[in-house]
Amino acid sequence: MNFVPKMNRRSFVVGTAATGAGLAIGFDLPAGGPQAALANNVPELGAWVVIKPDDSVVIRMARSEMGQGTITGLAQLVAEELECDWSKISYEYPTPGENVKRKRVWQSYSTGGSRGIRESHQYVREGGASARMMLLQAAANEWKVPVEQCKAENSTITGPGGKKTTFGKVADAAAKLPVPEKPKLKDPKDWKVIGKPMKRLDTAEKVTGKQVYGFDLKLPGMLNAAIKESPVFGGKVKSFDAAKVSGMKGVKKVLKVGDTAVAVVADTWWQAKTALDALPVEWDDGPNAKVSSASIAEVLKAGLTAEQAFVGNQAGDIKPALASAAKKVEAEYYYPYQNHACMEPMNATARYTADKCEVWVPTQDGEGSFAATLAASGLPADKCEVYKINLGGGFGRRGAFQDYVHQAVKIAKEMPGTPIKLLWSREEDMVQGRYHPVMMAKLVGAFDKDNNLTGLHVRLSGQSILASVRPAVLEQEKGRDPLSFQGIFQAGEHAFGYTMPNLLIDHAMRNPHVPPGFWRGVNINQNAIFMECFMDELAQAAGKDEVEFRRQFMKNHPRNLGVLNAVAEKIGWGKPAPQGIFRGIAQMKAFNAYVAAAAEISVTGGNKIKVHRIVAATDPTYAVNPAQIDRQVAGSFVYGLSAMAWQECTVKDGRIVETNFDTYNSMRIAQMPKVESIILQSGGDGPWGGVGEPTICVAAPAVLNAFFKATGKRIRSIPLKNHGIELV
Amino acid sequence: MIMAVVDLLKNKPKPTDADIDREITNICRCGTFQQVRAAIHDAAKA
Repeated sequence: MNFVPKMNRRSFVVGTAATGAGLAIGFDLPAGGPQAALANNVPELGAWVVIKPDDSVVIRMARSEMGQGTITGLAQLVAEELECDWSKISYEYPTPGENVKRKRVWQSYSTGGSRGIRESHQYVREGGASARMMLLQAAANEWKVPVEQCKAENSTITGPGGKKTTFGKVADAAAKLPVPEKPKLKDPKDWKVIGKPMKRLDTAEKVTGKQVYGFDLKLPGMLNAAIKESPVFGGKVKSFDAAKVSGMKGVKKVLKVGDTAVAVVADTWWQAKTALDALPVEWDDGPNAKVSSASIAEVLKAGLTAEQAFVGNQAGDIKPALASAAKKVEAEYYYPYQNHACMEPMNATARYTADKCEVWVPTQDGEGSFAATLAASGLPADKCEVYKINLGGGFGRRGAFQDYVHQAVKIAKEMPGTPIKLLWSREEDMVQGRYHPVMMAKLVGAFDKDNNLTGLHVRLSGQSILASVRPAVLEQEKGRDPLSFQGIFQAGEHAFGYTMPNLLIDHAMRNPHVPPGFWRGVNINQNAIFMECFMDELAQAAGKDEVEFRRQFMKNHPRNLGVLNAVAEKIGWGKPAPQGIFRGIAQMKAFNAYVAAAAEISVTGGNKIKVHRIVAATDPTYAVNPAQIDRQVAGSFVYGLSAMAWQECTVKDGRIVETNFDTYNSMRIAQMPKVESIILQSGGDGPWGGVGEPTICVAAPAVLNAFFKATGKRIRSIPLKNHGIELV
Repeated sequence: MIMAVVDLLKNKPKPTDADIDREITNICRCGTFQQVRAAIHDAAKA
């Protein structure tokens, strides 16, 4: 059963496909997009690879594509070992329900923490290698020759005596063979596809408008829903007068969703939204109705000098170092709440019957969406399914948080059999975020009489994400949130990049009622500004060059030093800058990648910053697709510099004030600096680093450090708009 | 953004960087502005 809906700007075909497990709906995209349903009669070579008789190669993707290019990188990893023809590749998303049925054969679906490639490269390469071995064995069996005499290249298998066949011709036979376990992988020096700037698999659909986003979705008989949740976090619906709007055009249902929200279901989304806006609702604001940005700041400020704090990093003894200092340098910094502001607001489409609950959703974690579907529907796993859709931006909003899935399923449950597309308005998206946590810092550096830095104390005071999102981690950590120390932690993928004689980095946890979340880069955003701007402050207090000053503490951190030196050299650090141009620099380790940035800016009128150029270096151990890394780096600067310049979610009467881009601005093409990306590959057998997030954190401190050089004014809180400074 | 670029190229078949800065004011949260600019110039040449 195929049908073509009314064509819009983005036209697409929705089809249904029967699987052995029951009826499932998939998108039959003309240009070969993700297929939500797995057909049973395809030659599957292990879990990751399907090869069809026409030689086309379908690679299964557990991670989600949201513009970061992960599917192309993952396909390169598989293709490298498979030895297939790159031009024959397409991809599909196996459903989370299928993953559960098959004992999580595709492992984690979670696409956050810059882990798409770095945490799955091993097993997806093994998936490609196993598939190749099966194809070779099938050819060898057919030819009755030893498999060692067969060779695979470019989707073709050759054997002794000029024998030749293609992957497609032996795929059926190969699919019947056992899947080899733990195949041997290629030496990185032999890679042909990994490390190449392959073109993305998803660009054409996006440019032509064929890409189906969640909010483009249309299902037969579908109705549209708009929702409003208590604008005060923790508030509830007291009452609402459905009769006032139920006669409005197109309105089908007015309902309460859980205790906290009201929704209107109508023929079109605009009808639903219009009725919702007209719906009289009385809210019970709960205990947080008086909270404001000022009251939150007061709580955080007290934390800067509080006795109790969780230790994230420690060396020597900071107390005597501070007590005996010949000179002390102190500064306080502040980082605000910020919303992800994805271009595509939150949405999910659900259809519920007593026998089946299905959800279509742009999600960073298909399994998280699946869990939310189970919870909200009350149905068991074998009666639920989730179909992933590529995302119009995620940035951390669409992974751990599945509130929109809960809502869509709850609404659909009230109208069994009718597909319901729930789409948030921009305003709802802005006030129901899972916000970048708010944080203050007090930093104190101690110097001896010869201007040597003898100690550093960094006191963080502010919100823990894990306290509200993963409280079990805090239990294991005796109350500490280790993630608060990203980039300045004692060890691991977010280890501090300096060795100081006496050091204390601690966190006074203060958790306001505003729900925090993972926002691209997470806690490296504030930690990099605090640390890397203060390193400049310390260098300047010591009368030393900022790069030279940092190097003193980086002898044990060769990879941090590697990226710092790379950007310093390329920007021309230590050499005179062009007239009117000022430079700033920053470095950090994040998500196991080492990153640094050096910015060149000019300032006019004391408050108009033009960022001309940023040189960025990243060392993710291996670079799977250098072109994609370049774009992630440049894109991360757009996200990070927008946050630095304009973005703050303020709190008044317990709710978020900013409701759209007019008060929550984002960088435009005119403000985009030239970004020159350097990729360093340390290689080796150690962990790989991520790419999507790490560099985001070094743009702002590099620019702020350059701004100080230009003006003598040290900016210690963002956004710049609060200081009357703009990015031009 | 693509629609804005189509409009720009209709009115100004060979836009300068300054034209692009002035006329393309769309928000892009993923931030591929460098590639967008390059693509506009490519399209102008085509």
